[in-house]
Amino acid sequence: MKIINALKYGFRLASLNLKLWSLLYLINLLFAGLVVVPLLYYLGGKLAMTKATDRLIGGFDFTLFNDFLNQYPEFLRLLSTQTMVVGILFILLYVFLTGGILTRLKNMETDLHRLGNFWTGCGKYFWRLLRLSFYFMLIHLSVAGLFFAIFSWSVAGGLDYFTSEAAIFFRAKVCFFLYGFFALFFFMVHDYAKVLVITNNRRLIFRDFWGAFRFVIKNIGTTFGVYLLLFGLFVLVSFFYGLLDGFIHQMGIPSLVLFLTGQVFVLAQIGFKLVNFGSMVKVMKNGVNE
Amino acid sequence: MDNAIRIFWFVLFWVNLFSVGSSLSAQDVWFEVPLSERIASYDISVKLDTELHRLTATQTIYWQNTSDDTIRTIPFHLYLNAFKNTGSTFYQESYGSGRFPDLKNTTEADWGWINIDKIKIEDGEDLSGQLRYIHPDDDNDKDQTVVELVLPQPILPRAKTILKLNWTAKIPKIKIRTGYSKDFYLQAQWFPKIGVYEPAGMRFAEVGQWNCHQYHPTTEYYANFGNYKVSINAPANFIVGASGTRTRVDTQSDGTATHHFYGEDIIDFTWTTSPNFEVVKDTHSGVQLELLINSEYSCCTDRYLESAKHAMDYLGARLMPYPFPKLTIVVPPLHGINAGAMEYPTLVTAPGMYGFPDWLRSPEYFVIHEYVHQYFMMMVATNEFEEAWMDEGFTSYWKSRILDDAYGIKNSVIDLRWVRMGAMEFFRSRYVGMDNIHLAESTRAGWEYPNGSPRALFYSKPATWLKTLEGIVGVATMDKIMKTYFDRWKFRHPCRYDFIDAVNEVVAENHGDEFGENMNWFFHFVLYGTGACDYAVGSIQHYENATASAGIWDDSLRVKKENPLKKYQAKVVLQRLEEIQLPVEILVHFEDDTEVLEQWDGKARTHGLTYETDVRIAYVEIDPSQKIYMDLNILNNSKRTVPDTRSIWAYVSSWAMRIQQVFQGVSFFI
Repeated sequence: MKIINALKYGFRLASLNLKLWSLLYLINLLFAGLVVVPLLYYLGGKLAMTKATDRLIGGFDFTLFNDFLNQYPEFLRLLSTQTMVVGILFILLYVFLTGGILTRLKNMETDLHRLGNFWTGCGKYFWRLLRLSFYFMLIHLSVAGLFFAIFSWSVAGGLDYFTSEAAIFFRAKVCFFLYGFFALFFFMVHDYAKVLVITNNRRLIFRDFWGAFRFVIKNIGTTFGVYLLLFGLFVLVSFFYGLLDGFIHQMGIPSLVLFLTGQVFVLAQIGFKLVNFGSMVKVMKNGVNE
Repeated sequence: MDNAIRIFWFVLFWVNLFSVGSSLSAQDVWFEVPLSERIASYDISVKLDTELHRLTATQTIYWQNTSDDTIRTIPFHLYLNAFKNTGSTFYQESYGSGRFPDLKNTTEADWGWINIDKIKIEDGEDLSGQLRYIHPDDDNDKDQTVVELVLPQPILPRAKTILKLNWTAKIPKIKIRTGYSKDFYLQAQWFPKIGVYEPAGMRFAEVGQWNCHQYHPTTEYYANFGNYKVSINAPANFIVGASGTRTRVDTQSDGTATHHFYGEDIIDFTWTTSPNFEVVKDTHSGVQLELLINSEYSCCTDRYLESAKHAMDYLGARLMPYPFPKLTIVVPPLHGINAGAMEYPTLVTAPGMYGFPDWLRSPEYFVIHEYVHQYFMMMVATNEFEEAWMDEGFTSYWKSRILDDAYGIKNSVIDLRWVRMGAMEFFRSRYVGMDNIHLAESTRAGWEYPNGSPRALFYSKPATWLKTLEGIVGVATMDKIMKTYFDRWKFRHPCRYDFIDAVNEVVAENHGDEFGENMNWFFHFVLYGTGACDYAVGSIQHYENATASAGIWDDSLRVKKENPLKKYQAKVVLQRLEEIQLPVEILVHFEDDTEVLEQWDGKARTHGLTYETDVRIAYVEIDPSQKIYMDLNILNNSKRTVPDTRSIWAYVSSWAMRIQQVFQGVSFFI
């Protein structure tokens, strides 16, 4: 029941925050634009006069792609560099925004209509959340390294030793599944630590870092239950979106429809982020009260 | 009537009785009339030792001198010696390819060799002392892949000879094509095989000569047709597959079994064995299909078999139905994958892997490729050493046609929603994407290409120019060319001149002198030349005609407006940027959607078109149907007069959406 209540609360907070939702969507669109608009100008400059681009009407065209890369070999390097730089900026921006999102969700019931404390929260907690993200990044690298080591150990000798490729694949699947499970756990702890950083407003984040671990483990049923349920819901939505996307593509429906359904999915992704934080705020409140 | 039936059954009974008594029953014989000259036939009895990875064999070679020459020596391929040491030509030419393991880590198990212990002519004396290694290709005296027997008595014109050999071999760990990997064995190029005697006038031979090349990593085939009777003794729990058909299996008391195989009119014999094969049997168009596959790959069973069937139907309709009674498809395990993707008579190998994704048509790609080799090189038996393009190029061309026909021209190799690739597109990309497209002509011997092995020159380039030839002469003429060439040279040994002759003959029949006196000009560029092909639209310009022509035009002394001009004079400049000259079509599209299709012989470096018109040209496109498939760059083949980025926008917007989703997906965890 706690889980359902937390999720309901999360959905309620998300639904009351349409402004925030819109803001996050616009930022997402802007950053995608930062990658794509220069790309469009680049491609337009090189290809606007050739009729070969008509081959794109049916979707990806290997011959066009191949000849384009032969003529402009720098393109992929430019694209990957640009995507990486913009991607890193996007991550930093999201660390920045997280402070605002959580401040707002925490104060929702008293301060519904002002985005002012959102921006204050963004600036106030940025460096603390960035440090927190850095520590959790180290944890994630360690977890990934650990599971990779377990997998390597479990298939030592590779095909010289194993007669069955399926056995190797099975080990890979098990390791990947377990890694995913643990990674999700640490992502969740990271999120609770963020909530604690904003709730406690302490300069030193280590107490919140450990506090999040203690809180999550103490309430493991509720915390992980909510997180897994929400994650499962997200996977389900992604799955249905994938089906719809495939159907639209297969039917040859104009790309505008594909683009618009894609935007709906992006909005859903943002919604899940808000629901996640909202439900955590609720779980945290309940946990502290108890 | 009753008597007639009785006599029939009586005769049938005795025929059967005698047939069972002989080692080869009448029903095992493939062809009533030989399909080839059967110059070199082999009886081999080989025993496999799976502990020591050794072969012990007795072998009889029946060889016929079909020439008017007197033969004084006989060369043999001993290709397992390519894996004997680092001095072999094969090893030297493989340097840097990663085929051989780090020398520090090699053990005896890695290397392989073959040794003729005894060789006799019929029941004469042992002549093994008369054997000497020769190195016809590179004078590498450390190479032992060709051995020559100096005959005590010459073989007279038209005479037959029988050679009896005893030999032993150590099987190498699989580096490429042949060897063993754990308990999987693929035995290719494994027995002493006689070279091909070419009398004067055959292919390039000016005087009678043996053609027997050393083993090179890039090329390996040239052999006479013959019949093969091969008995393979292996542990009884090992499944054995081989070229030809199985005639019987004898179980021995020592825990082994001897498998007897027979094949007619084939140029080689290959076999494989492993205790882990699953045998899947099927038939198609009267041909037995046998798939030897690791049971873990069973998800792909249909993919191997169905692609083979499609290839059989496709080539059966265009060249000739597959004439042999059986096709064996071997899927090596992943640890023996270097034995995969090879063609042998009536047996092909295609790599496999557990959990192979559906969108990557690698099983189909390799089965079809190796199956096409059954026609080009196994039946039309070109010399792969000297003219690799004639088997790999033809095979790549036909393989692409078959794959594209079966799975779609845009997605026959990779079929993901966002990335897809057709087979012919793939070969073109390999050709036009070469580091140096001018590197060498395609007519060199396989080992004579500079700086290693530019496979694109004998796979992708010929496939691409054969597709171009198809574009120029049309599919119907191309099919007729191929059929003519195939019918004329099946079970024989043609060279490039024979294909060119077929092209010239059929094109003249179907098109007269539309493309000139003959098509030699085409081969001058694509086969003998190192040039490339690139046509481009240089410019499109419109000049407004300011006024109609006016003035005093005759002796009437009245001012007249004469022949009012069209509004524009439009000038199109076309360019040939590379050396190859091919006839091309040019589509001129006007803004009122009218179109003109022009022809250009493509010879001059530049070509101009002029139009008097009331509407502007919207775009000009060279080769709108992409008939000139070998054109390097499709981007410059067309030009618009007004920029149009709509399709770019539509396409990039879909990428923008994916980027949005990835960014947002990542942000969930931040």
